[in-house]
Amino acid sequence: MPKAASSETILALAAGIVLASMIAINSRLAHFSSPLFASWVAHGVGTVAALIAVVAWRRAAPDAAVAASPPGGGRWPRWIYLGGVPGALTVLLAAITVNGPLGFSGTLALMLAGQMLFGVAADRFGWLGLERRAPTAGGLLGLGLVLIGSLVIIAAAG
Amino acid sequence: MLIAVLIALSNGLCIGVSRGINGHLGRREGALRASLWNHVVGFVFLSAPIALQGAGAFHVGPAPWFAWIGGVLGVAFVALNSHVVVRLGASRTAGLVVGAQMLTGVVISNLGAAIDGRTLVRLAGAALIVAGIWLANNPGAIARLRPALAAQTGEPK
Repeated sequence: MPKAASSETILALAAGIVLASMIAINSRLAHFSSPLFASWVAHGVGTVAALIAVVAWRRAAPDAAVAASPPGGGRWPRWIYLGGVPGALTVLLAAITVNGPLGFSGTLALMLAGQMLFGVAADRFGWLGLERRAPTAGGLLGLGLVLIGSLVIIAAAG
Repeated sequence: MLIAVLIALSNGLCIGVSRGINGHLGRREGALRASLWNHVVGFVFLSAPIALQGAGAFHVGPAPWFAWIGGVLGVAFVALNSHVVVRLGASRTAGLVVGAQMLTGVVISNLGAAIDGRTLVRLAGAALIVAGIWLANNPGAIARLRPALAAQTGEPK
């Protein structure tokens, strides 16, 4: 029996909608300044907004037992606080390739592909504390269709 | 060209790594606090190249007010990703986020636009994405389809 779409699925789709809207807004600021400055401002504004949200939703704190030790046991590594570095690096790397032979479309296409390839590998090998998940035929085919559909849209944007 | 391709591919890798790390942090601190850390660390990290550029970095044209508040959406984006990635896995999360991102992009870039050939191609791409999202959420679909196809074509099991 196919199960109904889980709440996580809805939240992941919502994240994609939020991302596209954020990119549309940030690129307006980048148009009047630079991609670097726009991303710097977005991180600064985001810091303030996140602080307000954290204070407003104090109850959202996780389970004390989990917070003390990761699911696999042992200690929490220090690098879990550094996710903002690769996130911010994205802006700088994109600025390099968008102005090169790949242009905007090529850069976006390869970023989507790289993101998906990494996702499959990270699941397969359980990287970054993720649960190990063997890739399934349906999952890979679904991912491939999303990628091909994305490439078609990017190509049509010319 | 090859170097540009490698840079763009590793850029996608950065997105995945960031999502995975923040998801891990989210288990310990909660998704919102993970988003806060992501923005603080990213802000400090980007301050270095901004400082290198000097005063020139701060020349801003007449941008509309809403152009300044994209970071608010960024908070929601990172929090949603951190919550979802540890539950759905990295590849399904990537597929769903990218799919919805591209579909939203089609809507945004076609608001009020007259339909032409390109719009139709974009819609075809959107249909593929919807099919992909459905398939990724129904992993058993292929297994159910196979016996039905085999029965139709007379293929031995």
